[in-house]
Amino acid sequence: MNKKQLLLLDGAMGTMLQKAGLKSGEKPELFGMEHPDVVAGIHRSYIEAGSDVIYANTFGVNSRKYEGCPIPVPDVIAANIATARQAADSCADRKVRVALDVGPIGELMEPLGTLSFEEAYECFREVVCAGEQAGADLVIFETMTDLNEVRAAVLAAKENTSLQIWVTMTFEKNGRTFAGTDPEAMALTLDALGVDAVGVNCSLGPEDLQPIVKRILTRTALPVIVKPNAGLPDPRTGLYAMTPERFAREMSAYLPVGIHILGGCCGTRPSFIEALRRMVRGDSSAQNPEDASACADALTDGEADAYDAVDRGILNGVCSAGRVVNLDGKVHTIGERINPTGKKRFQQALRDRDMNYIMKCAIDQTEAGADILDINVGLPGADEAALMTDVVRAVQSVTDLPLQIDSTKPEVIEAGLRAACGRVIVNSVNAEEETCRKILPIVKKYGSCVVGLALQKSGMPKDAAERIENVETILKFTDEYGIPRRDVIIDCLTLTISAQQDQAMETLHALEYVSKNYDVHCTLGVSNISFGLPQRKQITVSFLTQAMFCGLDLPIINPNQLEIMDAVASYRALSCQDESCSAYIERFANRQDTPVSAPAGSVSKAASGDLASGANTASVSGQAENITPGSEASDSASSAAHMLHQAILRGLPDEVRLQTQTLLESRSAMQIIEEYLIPALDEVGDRYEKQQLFLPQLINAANAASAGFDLIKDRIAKTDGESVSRGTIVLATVEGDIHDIGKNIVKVVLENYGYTVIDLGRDVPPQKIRDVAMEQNVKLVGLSALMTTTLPAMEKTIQVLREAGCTAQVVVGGAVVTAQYAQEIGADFYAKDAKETVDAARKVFGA
Amino acid sequence: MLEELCQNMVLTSLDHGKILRSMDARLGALSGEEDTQPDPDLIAALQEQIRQCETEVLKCASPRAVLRILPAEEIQPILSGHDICRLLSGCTEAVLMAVTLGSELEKRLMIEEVTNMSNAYVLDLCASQAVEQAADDLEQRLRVQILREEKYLTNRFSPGYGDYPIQMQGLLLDYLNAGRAIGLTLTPTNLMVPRKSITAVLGISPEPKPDLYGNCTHCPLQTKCAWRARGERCYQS
Repeated sequence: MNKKQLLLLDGAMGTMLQKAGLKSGEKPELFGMEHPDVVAGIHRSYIEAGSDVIYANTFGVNSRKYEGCPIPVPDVIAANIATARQAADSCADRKVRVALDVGPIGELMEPLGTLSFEEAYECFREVVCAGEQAGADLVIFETMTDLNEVRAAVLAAKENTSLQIWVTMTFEKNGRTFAGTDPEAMALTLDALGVDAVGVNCSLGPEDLQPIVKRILTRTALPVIVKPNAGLPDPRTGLYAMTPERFAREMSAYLPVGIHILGGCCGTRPSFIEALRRMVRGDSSAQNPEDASACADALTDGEADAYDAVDRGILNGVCSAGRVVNLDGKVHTIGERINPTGKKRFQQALRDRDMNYIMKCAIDQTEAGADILDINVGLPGADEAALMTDVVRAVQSVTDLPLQIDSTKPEVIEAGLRAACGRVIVNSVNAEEETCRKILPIVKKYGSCVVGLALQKSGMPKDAAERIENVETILKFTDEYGIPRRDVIIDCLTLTISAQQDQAMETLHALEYVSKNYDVHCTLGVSNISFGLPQRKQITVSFLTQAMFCGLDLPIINPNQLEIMDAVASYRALSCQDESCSAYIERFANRQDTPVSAPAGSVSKAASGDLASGANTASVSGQAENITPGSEASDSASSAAHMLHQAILRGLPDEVRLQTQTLLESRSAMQIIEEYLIPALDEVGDRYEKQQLFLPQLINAANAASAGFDLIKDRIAKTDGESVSRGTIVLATVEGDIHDIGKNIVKVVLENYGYTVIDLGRDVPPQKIRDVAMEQNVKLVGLSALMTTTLPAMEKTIQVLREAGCTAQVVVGGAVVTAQYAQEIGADFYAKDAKETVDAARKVFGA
Repeated sequence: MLEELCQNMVLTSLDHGKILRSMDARLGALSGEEDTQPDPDLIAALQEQIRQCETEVLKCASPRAVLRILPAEEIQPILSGHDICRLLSGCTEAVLMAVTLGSELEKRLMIEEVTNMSNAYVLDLCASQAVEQAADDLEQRLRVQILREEKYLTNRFSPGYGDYPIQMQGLLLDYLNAGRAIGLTLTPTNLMVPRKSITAVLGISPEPKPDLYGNCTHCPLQTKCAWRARGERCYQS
C-alpha cells in the first residue's frame, strides 16, 4: 500500500439490500446467503466506485440476534465474508481489503441492561474468530454507542485473533452517544487498548460530524475514520436528499486535518464513493503529507508511535465513558475512601458484598469534588480479584469519575482493568524488578497509567537521594516496556512525622526534583503525614499545600474533608490553574464563616411541623437540615429518647444520629433498637396504613432510623461486639426483570427495622438465589417481579429453592403479583408493600 | 412528516396531579374521607418533593421518538391476537411508535436509589409520568397532522395491553430500527432499556373509530387495581 494513499471505504449496505428486495424484519445476512449474487453486485459497484476497503454483509450476525436460527453464526459469517472476498479479489487494479463488519449486539449491557461484560465478550469472540477464519483482513466494530461494549469487542478480537481492529462509534448532535460516551473518552480508551483506527459513523452528515471528529483528534494519534450519513433525512419524506457532489465537498474538509479513511453510511450509494474518489484525486494537494505518513505508518505497522502524540500536542488523560480528567500538570484529586484499611465498617461491607455502602462512598466523594477515585479491596482471605470486579462495576454504575485500581497483586489489577470502563491508573509498582516484570506488562496491555512508588524491598528510602534513585530504576523499567513517561505517576512516599519527623522535607525535596527533571506526574498519599497527631487536618493541609508547590499534581486525599478540598481550590487559584479564580469564587461565594457555637433557637422549619418533615427532607441532594435541641434539656436520656422518636417521625437522619449517640452513653445497643427505633418505625407504619402518610415519608422515616442503626453498627464493629441483626433476609428481583425500585424500597424499610438484607440486585438467576439462601442459611427469601412476563421466573425460583431442599420461607410481591398467584406458585407470604414485608419478617423471625 | 414530528420532542412540565394520584394508589387520603386526611403540611412537603424531582427529571431526560407508517398490506407480521386486529380493522395504515427518555435519566435514578430511596421513588414516578406525557404529546401532534389529511387516528395500543403479547415488542423495535434511531433496546425477557420508554401501534382510518380500549379491559392490573376498587379510573384525571 502506498503510504500516502487515502483509504476509501464503501457506502451503505442496508439500503442497497432493501432496494434489491430485502423485506422488513428479514435478516440481511441470511438474505445475503440466499442471494450472494446480489450482495456481490453491491460490493463490486463499490469497488468500481473506488472503495479500498469493503464491509462484508455481517453487521447484525451474533448468537444473541440469531437465537433460534438453524444456521450457525460462523456459517452465516463465512458465507458473507466469502462473497465479499471474491468481489475484492476479482479487482485487478488494486488490493481491496475485506472488513468483518460487526455492529452492536443489540442488547444494553449492565448496569442499565442485563447483558454482562462476559456474555458480550463471548458473543464477540465467536464472531471475530469466525471472521478471521473466513478470511477477513480486518474487523470493524461500527455504529457502537456503549464504550463498555466496545471494550468487550476489542478485547475479544485482541485476545483471540490477529485481525487489525478498527472502531467507529455513533454520536448524536449533542456530542455524545446514546449511552453517554464522549468522543474524547472513546479516543483515549481505545488508543490505550491498542486498536488500529478509531472514528465515527452514521447519525449525521459530514459537516455536522466535524466538531466531534475534532474532539477525537485532540486525544489520539491513531488514524481516524469518518463515515457519515448523506446528511440528515428530509423531515417530511424521511429520505436523504444530499447529492454525492455535496457529500464529497463536505468531506473534503477532513483532508487538511489529517483524516485518511473516508466512507459513507446511511443514504450513501456507490455514486457517493465515486464522488469521494474524484474529490480525493483532484485535491491531493490538500493533504498534509506528514499526517498522511503517520497515518499510513500506523495502519501498516499496527501501532502509532506513542511519543508522536506529544509532538502533535495531543492531550493525555484518564477517563470513564462519560468524563475525561486531563493529566495536564494541573492539580486533580484522587479520592482515597474506597479502601478497607483500618476501617471495620468498610471491611464488613466488603465481606457482605454490601455494594450499596461502597456505592455511597463513591457518590459522597463525587459530590465532594474528587476528580478520580482510588479503588482498594485488600481484604485478607477474600477473593480480591472477584471483589475488585464487583466493586469497580458497582462504583461505575453511580459515578462517572475515572478510577485508580489500587493493588499490588497482578490478578487483582487485571480484574480491575478488565472491569473498568475507560482509561484508568494502576496503583502501583515499585523499584523492585520482580514487581515491575509482573505488573508492567498488564499496564501495557490495557494502556493504563501507572503509579511507581519510590521504594524497594530493602525498605523505606532514607532521604531524597535514595527516593530519586528508586525513581530512576522504575523509569528504566517503564521505558523498557514502552510505557511513555507521561503515563507514569511517581509517589515519593509520605511518612508520618510523629514517627519520622525529618522525612517530610526529604519527601518534598524528592518530589520537587522528580517533577522538574522527569516528564512524569506526581502523587502522594497525603493524609499519612499527620497520623498520630492532634488536629491532623492542620498538618495535612499544610503539607499538601507545600507538596503541590513542589509539583504534586495528583494528590490522594479524603475529599470529604472540607479543609483539604479548600486547600486544593486555593492552590489552583494561586497557581493560575483556576483561570480568573472562577472555580474558587464559585466554591466560596456563598460560604458563611462557621459560627463558634450554634445560634440559639436554630430550629429548622420542619421541627415545628407535626410530622415528617418540611421541604428539607425532600431535597434531591438528600441533605436534611439539622434540628438542634430547643429549650428542652438535651443531655438527659429521656429527652434524647423523645427527640429520637420525633426525629424518626420527621425523617431527620442527622438528628437521629445525634440522639442515638446521646442514648448510647446510657443504654445498650439492643435497648435502643427495641425500645426506641422500632416503636417509632411502627408508629410511622401505622400512620401509613391509616393513609395519613405517603410512601416517600415512610421511606424518609426509615432512612432516618437507619442513621441510628448505622451508628450502632459502627459502634459494634469497633468493639467487635455481637450483632444486633434481627435476622437475615435475601432479596432479589427475579431473573429477566430489571425493575427493582419496589425491591429497593422494601430493602430500606427492612433494614431499618433491624434486619440484615442480602440484596442480590435485579435480574438474578434462580440458582444464585438458591445458593446464597442455602450458604447463608437464611430463613426468609423475598422475591420481586414487576412484569407479567417475568412472573414465571418467580415461580421457577421458588421451585428451584424447594427442589434443593432449601427451608427458607418465601415472600413475594410486585405490581402484577396477587395473593392468589402467590399461593399458586407456592410462596409462603404475599406482601402488597414494604410494610407487609416487615409483617412477614416478624412472623418468620418472631417479634 | 414523521421525522419532523419526532424532531420536536420537548417536555416542559409534568402533571403533578397525576403524579400525586399515582403516589401509591391509596387515594383515600386525598379524597378527604373520614379522619384519614393527612395534614396540609405533609401534602405541601410532598408537593415540594415532587417539584424538585420534576426539575431533575426534566434536566436528565432527553425525549426521543421514532415513527413508521405501514400500509395495510404490510401489517400482517405485527398482528397477534384479537385486540390489535380489532384496533386496526378498517384502517388503511398503521403507525408504529417508540418513545424513550434516554439513558442519562436511568443513571440518575440508579444514583438516587443508593442515596435517597424516598426521592428515588418520587423521581421514578415523575419519570414514568414524563414518558407518558412525551408519548401523549407525540400522539396528539400526529393526530392533528392526520386530521389535516382528513383521516383519523385510533387510540394508542401497546404490547402487553389486552391479548397483544409483550413478545411483539422485539418486532416493533426491529421495524422501527429503534436501537439505531433512538437507542432503545430490549432484554431477552422483552423489557425495554432504557426503562422509561413506550412502544405503541395506532391505526389510520378513513372514518373516526370509537375508542375501543380506553378502559380497563386491556389492563393486566385490573384485578388488583386500587383505583378500580374505589370506583375510579386511572385514565380519568
